[in-house]
Amino acid sequence: MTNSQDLSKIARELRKELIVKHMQTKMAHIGSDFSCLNALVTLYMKVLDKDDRFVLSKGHAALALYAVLHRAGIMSDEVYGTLGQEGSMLGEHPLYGIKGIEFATGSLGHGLSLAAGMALAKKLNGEKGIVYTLLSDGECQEGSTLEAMNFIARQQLENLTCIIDANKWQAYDRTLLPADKLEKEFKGGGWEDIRQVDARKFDELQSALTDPKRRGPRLIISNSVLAMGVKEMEDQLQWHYKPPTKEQAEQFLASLDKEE
Amino acid sequence: MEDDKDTILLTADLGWASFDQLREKYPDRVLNMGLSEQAMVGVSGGMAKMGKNVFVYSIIPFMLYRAFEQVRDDVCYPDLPVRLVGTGAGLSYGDAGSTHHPFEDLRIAAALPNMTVLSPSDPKEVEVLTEQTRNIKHPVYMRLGRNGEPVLHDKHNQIRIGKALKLTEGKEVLIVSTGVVTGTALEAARVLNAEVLEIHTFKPFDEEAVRKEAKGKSVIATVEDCTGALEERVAKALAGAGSEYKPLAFKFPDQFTHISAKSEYLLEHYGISANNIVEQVKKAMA
Ligand SMILES: [Mg+2]
Repeated sequence: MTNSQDLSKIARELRKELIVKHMQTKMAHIGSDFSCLNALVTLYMKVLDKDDRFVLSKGHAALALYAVLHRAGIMSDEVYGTLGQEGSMLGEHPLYGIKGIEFATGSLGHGLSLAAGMALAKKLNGEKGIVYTLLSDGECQEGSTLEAMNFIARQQLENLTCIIDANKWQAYDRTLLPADKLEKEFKGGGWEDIRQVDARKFDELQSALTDPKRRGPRLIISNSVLAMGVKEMEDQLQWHYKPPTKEQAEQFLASLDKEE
Repeated sequence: MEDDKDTILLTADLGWASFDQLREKYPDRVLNMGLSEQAMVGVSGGMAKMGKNVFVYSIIPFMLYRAFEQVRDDVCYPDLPVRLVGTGAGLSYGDAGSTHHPFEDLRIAAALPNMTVLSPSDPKEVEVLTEQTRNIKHPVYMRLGRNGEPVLHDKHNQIRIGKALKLTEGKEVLIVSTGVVTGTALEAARVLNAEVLEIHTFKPFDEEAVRKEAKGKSVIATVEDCTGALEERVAKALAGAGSEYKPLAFKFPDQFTHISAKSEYLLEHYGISANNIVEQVKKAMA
């Protein structure tokens, strides 16, 4: 089995798991989970090591992060099992204090500044490792994201990698900042190491994330689709809001089984 | 900053003439973030998470109000040791106008869980309190005046974060004050032979001291440059304490300034002056 078949198998299994979790917990944002899931799987299975840090800026994809943390052995069965229970730490957006999660994100536009602070501290401390953060395409409209983008370029934080999950939707409309516009925006801010990848292709994701030849802070625009990976769900805004019903869940699980 | 290599100072394009020397000496650790208050506070959270002692500096409304959500979610929620230092408390920016007058900051900062709120009255207090924040591994907000305020008293060695500071003795009248208008309170107290209890720590609030000092007083006045934050906090401390007293509040009214003037004029205009305090207290005692 090749490397990317391996990741693709894990991602398919996690999609199935998440369909069931969303159906059971009635939590929203399955579409966002799926659009960034391949990037999260690649990060946690192939990229992150002990010196690295990760901030999920698009906190509404928390369930995808929980699933990946659990799969990576960072989140225990016990904690993961509480998802959906009253009193659990595992919210629709991550609460503060979950092992393996750095910050309580969920309000958009915070992650890039937080990651910048962590990367700057690491740099001043002379520590190894890279700080990764994953943003939505929508939150690049936040002034705070643009402030951080400019700051990171001025500081030339070469130990920071920003991944934008360009899933072409935001909460109410098609994204106002498509991938090419995003690229221009960051380029104009002074970022030089910019790559666009196809979020369906694990080898593209992995090589963009791990390429050691860095030219300052790195931006990876991960071209994805809302609810990516389940044909019947893809590119429909309803999956930003609705959990699948039992019948839908069965249909989507069967669709994923057919692909195997 | 000399003895602590982990100390970082972030400023949002302010500090001309005051941070110059520091920045020359520690160029890596004194950073001008530019006009980016939200990113500044977010970055402070990220750095504190990695073990840095971060000071964040700006004019109060730009820092605490514009970046409020970053203060809340990126600093207070994770309970990180970031010191948010704001300048221009109350009306101290005078003719700079209402955009520069944070007359709600005590309430706003104190509303945040995990936050310690410091409201010093003079430059020496700022020094002593800053030194004591080293032991606080939680968020701290400190509101400063504008610059060049006089040293008001000689009790700085008694300052402890969280404890009210008795500046003068008095039998009948208690004046509770906070921030740079404590000078005004002291001036009035000299005429009235009043006790002045200074609240340099607004949160946690020293209710016990207020209750203790209120005993036997016939008039209790509060003096502040906010819209009643101190007045209400003192009233809460004394609620049900059984003290019979006439309350007087010298504060900024619930409105924006529509006149342009230096802070001394503005304070006087809104009744926060020694003369007015003396007059009102005498009336209340008559
Ligand atoms: Mg989007």
